[in-house]
Amino acid sequence: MSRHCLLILALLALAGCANVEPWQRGYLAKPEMAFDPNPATAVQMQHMYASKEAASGGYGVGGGGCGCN
Amino acid sequence: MAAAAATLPLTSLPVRAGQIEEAKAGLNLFSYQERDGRIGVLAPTAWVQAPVARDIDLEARMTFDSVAGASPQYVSNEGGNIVHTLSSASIREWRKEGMLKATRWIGDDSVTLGADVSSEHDYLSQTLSADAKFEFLNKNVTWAVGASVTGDAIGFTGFPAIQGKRTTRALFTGITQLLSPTDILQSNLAYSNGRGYFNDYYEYTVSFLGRRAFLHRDQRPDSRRSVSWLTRWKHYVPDLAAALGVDYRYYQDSWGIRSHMAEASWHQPLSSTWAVRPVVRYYTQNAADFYATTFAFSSGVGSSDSRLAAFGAVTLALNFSARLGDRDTLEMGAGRYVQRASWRSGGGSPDLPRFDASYAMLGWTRSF
Repeated sequence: MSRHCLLILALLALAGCANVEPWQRGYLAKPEMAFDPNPATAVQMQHMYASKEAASGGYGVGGGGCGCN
Repeated sequence: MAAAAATLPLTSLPVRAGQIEEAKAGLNLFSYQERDGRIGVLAPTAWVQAPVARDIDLEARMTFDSVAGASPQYVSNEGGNIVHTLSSASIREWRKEGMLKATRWIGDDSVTLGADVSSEHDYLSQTLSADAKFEFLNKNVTWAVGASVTGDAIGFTGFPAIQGKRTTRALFTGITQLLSPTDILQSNLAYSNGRGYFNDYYEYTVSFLGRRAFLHRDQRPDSRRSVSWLTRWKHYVPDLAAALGVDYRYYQDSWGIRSHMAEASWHQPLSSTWAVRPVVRYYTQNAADFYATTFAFSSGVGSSDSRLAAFGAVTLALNFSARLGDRDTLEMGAGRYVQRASWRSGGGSPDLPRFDASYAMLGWTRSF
């Protein structure tokens, strides 16, 4: 676990060196580049997985519990 | 394409660095069905997100789940083999969930307060959350930090005088980083600490040991601490006008569960209107420390819930979307989710039944 953390932190640190200027962000602004293009669908999928698997979380704060899990 | 991209206004920046530019509303219908007559769910959702003042956004969502079918009720080794038996009574239940979030923008940074309530006839869950996002390095980096507290009240059908309670506190932090004109990386770390009632009152295990039979009701520790670490990468392929998404999550908790999840998706336009997005996901977990399928009479903490067993799971899904004019988007998709003990690297829990489910969704979004 700690080695994985160090690896990701190192990648993020390297990534921090990158500088994407505002006029270079056209592709990044496309709807399909959003991590969750449809928030309602994303919530429903996470809800389904959380009811059938032991692991969940990592997508943000909020969201209610459920008798399904 | 590059020239067109270069002339896009700055107001369409990704990573949501700024207030919502236009209101959006949508309707979704989600259908889920397990095989062998188990649970089926039909869940319509309505949602809206809109700027309501110069520096304030509101987001609201309402879901109404209709659940029908039979769920696993007990596990028995009578006859020598482990058998998971479904409840003899077919259930029909409803769940209502409402969510409201308000975001206040302070320059490029923001603070969000949220509330979420989920209600069933024997379960009530209420969550309050707060999070903040800060922009750094010419908006190349977004740092998010948040916290939430959830109070759950668990009732039991047929036993109105009994009620379990649980409180879960969670912390969250994440960084979203622009890597290049075609790449975004996000890494989130979440910590959760729950205390209270975690048992499934409706599940029990019948163990035949020699000539004696023991009944064991599902009993779990009264606390659960977990860490989820999710990393997501999006890559745009200009030559194909396509977008690749890759997610990986590591999870571990105080019940001894470790899990890995990897998901990949590919968004490919088929025409100026239609696009297709296939998704493949693999998930694996080991068993909780107290998972077992037979229990002696003196057993304390223990559960035969298959969700706490060791298994692997695969999801295959295909989604289509269509842009209808300037304001409307139609989405539809279907997927299959399958669990197998043998799909866990190193082997899963023996005697775990096969699990198959399928789902479909239909969504409509309008911009105003």
